[in-house]
Amino acid sequence: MNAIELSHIHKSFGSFAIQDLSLTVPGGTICGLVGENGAGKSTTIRLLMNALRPDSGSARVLGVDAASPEFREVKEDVGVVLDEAYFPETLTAVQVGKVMAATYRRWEQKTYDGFLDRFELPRKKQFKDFSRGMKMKLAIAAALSHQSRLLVLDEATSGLDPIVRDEVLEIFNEFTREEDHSILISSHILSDLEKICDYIAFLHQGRLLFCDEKDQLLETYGLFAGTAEQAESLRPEAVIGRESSGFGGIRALVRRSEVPAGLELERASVEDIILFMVKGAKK
Amino acid sequence: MKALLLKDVYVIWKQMRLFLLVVLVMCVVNTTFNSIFLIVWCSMLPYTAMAYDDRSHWSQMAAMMPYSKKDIVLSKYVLGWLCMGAMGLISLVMQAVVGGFSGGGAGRSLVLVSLCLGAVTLAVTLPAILRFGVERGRMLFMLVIFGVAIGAGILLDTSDLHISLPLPLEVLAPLAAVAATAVSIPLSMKLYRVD
Repeated sequence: MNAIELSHIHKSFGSFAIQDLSLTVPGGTICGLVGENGAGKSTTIRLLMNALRPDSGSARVLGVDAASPEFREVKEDVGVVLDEAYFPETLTAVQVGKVMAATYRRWEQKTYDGFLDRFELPRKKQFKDFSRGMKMKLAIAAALSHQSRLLVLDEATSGLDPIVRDEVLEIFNEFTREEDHSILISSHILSDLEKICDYIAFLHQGRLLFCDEKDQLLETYGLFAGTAEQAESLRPEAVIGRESSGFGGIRALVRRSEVPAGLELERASVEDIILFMVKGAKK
Repeated sequence: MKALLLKDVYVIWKQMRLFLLVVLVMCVVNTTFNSIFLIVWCSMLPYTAMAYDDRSHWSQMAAMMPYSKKDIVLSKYVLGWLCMGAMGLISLVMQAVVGGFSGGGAGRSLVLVSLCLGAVTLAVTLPAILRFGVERGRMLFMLVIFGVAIGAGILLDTSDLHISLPLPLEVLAPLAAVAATAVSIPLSMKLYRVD
């Protein structure tokens, strides 16, 4: 079963619109949602969770239509961490636990307490006195403590120091070891996504440019580094985007299948692929 | 709804401690205006909780959780009613302790009318505040609360006024509260939106 199915979603806000967005996240996988600020990542998450109604198109989460009355039941199985929405600032971690225990039927207090200890979060400190990293950790602890089958994470690792970020990514990896557990994660930290994701979806100005398996993406594209003359000899359809690397050199993202077999290419990271695609799209 | 009420109580609890102190002082200096004002003022407590919610964008988080729109909207009414009910009880106890009324009949009727006025205030202001947020809705609220409290205080304090009502105030006020609430809740459901 697919964890998430967005089908031909349109949502207009006047100057900005999500256009014909179709995205599928198979069960048991991690999908990274990538895009610039304002590309529509958070809007996509709100549409997915029925916090926003699409103008047209449909969203299904864990097999249930997000617009149906049954969807409220599905929300019990979805752990959400948002980038810019938090718990009210006077609440403490203990009080958050009590509110969540009254919210989710399958709340696990032991698991929550375990995460508070693991993340070294103070129990009696008010939320307003938490650092951004601590706020994200508390939100992650709550999202992981009610037997979720799907995690929807909007910039959940931003604000965390590299060591904690690594630990959190490992927790996300552990989460998907259960075969029906899935994650949709949006992040600006592309190296994080490259580390954990099975799929990468790229949103640009409200449109989904691609949603592909990460390994296939990395196999499809390569980085060319050479002189301007060498770059000119490449077929135009092979070049996705290019930039000057200084001293007359050129770096370009190319399709491996479209360049001569003998041409040596460097491995492109997900970050390279996204950056060159954005540059290519802007041209 | 229990979770939402619990959250709101945690949020306003700090402010309620200070508020209770003010209440005790005002109840000792017992006047009709104080009783009405305190109870009607309690209908403002949901807005304090909503101001904190606005600041943290809680409504966006709540939209991701298994709360229905009905739960979110109704919890604000229930919180207001609970706060006013508690205030009414405190008011009665304090009046009895300081001997503010004899026999109890007049005090109970004053509290009943005040509770109804509070419910009407909540019913009038909540739909707009759910729609526009606490910041923009606050002015409307202040106008309504002072209008209701001062108007009712004058009405009840002035024994010279002989206004002929079709029904006794103790009957009319609950009817008005029920009618206003019956209109207000569906309106709030319609107007509520996530920021």
